[in-house]
Amino acid sequence: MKKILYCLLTLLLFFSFNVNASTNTYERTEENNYGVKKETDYHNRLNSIMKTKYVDASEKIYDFSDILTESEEQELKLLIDAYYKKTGFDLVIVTDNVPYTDDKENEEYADDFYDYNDFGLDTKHYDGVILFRNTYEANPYYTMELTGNAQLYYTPKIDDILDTIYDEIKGKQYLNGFKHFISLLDSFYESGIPSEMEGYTLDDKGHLVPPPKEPEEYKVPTILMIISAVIGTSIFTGVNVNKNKMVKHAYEANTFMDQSTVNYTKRTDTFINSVVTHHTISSDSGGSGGGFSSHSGSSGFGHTGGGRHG
Amino acid sequence: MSNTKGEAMGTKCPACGASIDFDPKASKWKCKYCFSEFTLEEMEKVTSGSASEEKNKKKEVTKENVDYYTYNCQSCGAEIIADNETAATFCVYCGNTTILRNKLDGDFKPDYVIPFKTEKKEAEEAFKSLSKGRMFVPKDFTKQENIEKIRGIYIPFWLYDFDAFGDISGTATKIQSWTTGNTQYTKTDYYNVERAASMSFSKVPVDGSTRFDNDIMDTIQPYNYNELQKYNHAYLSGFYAERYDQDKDELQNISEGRVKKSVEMELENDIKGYATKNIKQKNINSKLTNVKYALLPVWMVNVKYKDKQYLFAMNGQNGKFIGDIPLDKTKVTIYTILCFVIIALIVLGISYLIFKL
Repeated sequence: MKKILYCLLTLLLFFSFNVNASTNTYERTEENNYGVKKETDYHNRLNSIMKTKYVDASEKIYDFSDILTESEEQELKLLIDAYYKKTGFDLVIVTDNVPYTDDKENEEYADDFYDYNDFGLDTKHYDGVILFRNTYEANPYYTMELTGNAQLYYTPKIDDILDTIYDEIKGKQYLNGFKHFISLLDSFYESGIPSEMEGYTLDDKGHLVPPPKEPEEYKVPTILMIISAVIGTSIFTGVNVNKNKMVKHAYEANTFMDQSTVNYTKRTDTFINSVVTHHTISSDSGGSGGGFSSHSGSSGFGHTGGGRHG
Repeated sequence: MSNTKGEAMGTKCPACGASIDFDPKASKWKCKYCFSEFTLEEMEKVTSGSASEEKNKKKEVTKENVDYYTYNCQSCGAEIIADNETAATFCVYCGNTTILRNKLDGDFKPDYVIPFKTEKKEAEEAFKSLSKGRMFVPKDFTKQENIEKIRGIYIPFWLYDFDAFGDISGTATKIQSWTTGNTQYTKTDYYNVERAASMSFSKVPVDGSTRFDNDIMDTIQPYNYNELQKYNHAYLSGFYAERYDQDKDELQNISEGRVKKSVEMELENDIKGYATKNIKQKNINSKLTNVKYALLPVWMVNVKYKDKQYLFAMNGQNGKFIGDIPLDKTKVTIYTILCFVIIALIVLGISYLIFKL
């Protein structure tokens, strides 16, 4: 009897750790304003909004693909809460299985999921990060998208972060991968806004605005001045010195040639061959670097982001 | 070292017998005493008559390595000394023109002459206006006092006629360039080019006197040969004249060199429409067809400036005035520095404006 009880307990324990969490979704209706609390003109975007799952924004982890256990979710939730407390940035992890073949669709999914749920609602620009894992077998993909001020902290680090967690995500070690993801966000936050993003601001829609070009300090073009003065003066002095020299040696007798007697007996121009050479023009697109800019989600809010196959 | 005594001829007025000079403006001989005017034909009758009567008396006098000749002035009878190349000069006592007839006889008799058409004061004016449009002329260089002596001189020139033939060949290229995508293509077409032509040159002038700088004499060219006159002693009155001391064979190569260069230029310029030309072979021949001896009018202005002599010459026919003017080094320095500073400031100003915009 004791044995049976022990077995039952073990079984119960086992279940309690391995039961995958289910995620609740809600219906978007006109009454609940289609689930959108953010300031957006949802009438034009109803299509996108209706396609987007409406969830409870406080859960943070939405495992539609069922790849995490309840306990794993809880573990992650603790980390996310701590992260939010520290940074004020929302952090959302979504998994789903949707048959997307285009990377853009994955990014849109992530953007819409973030924009049309109540994430980041307590900040002006809805600051936050979303990591979306599409477990679609034919084209597994994961993408991170940044919203609001999170763009300032992480935009230059996107590739770095995605590459770092690549092996774990691809190897389906999701818990480790997501934990790793959170800790990367955490440590990059601690290093502050990267120097590349210095001076960037956000506009009303949360798009990155590059820093206004600082008025450069005027520099006296010494070399240009000297070169032009040397050339100009040489011409000026040369021309004027030459005016004093009028006597010239005659080496030809053109004036005394009788033009009417010029009689050509041979005038041949024979084509020999052609040679074609080519070279590639190096496109000098200026080494000043392109800077960073946000793309708009269907909501019109600005995001930066990136993704990886795997 | 010889001194030859000869007889000089003064050009005399056929009417009153006074000395008479050629007037460049009127192209006539005008007598200052009786105001008579004479044409060439009228003068010829008088001068040719006396020419045959003249005889040379030679007398040797040793004095350095120069041949000196003494003549008796036809006007006052005084002795005139001149060297071997002087063909017309002035009597130092009475100031009359003295044409040393025998200097321009025989082999030395010119075929042609172009009479003076400009006057002494035009040469003076031309000299004085040298500083116009020239920044580096020394301040008082063009002062009247600097003009030592202005002389109208008939300079001996050899006029060479040539028939020339040239044949040149080489390669030439045409280049086309276009861009497709980010590749730039350059197509070079190679051609063999050949040109051959004959042409004539007439009256290429070479100064026949070693006493005048060849470059100066070349620079005052060209003369308008339409005004070439058959030579007559009478034109020399009122002017100096020289006779050649380098004969036509000696100077032929100078004119021939110029002619050949011109043939080459003509042929090369005929190869048109190419981006590059490379002449590999040329064969240019010239044949002398005629040589004439002519006296051409030149105003010579000798300018003494800071103990140095500067020679200026003016074409006595068309007034072309040439010569090398000394540079005012102070002006050159000041203007050069000024120019440098101004350009530098302009560049500074422009760069600042661009920066502000």
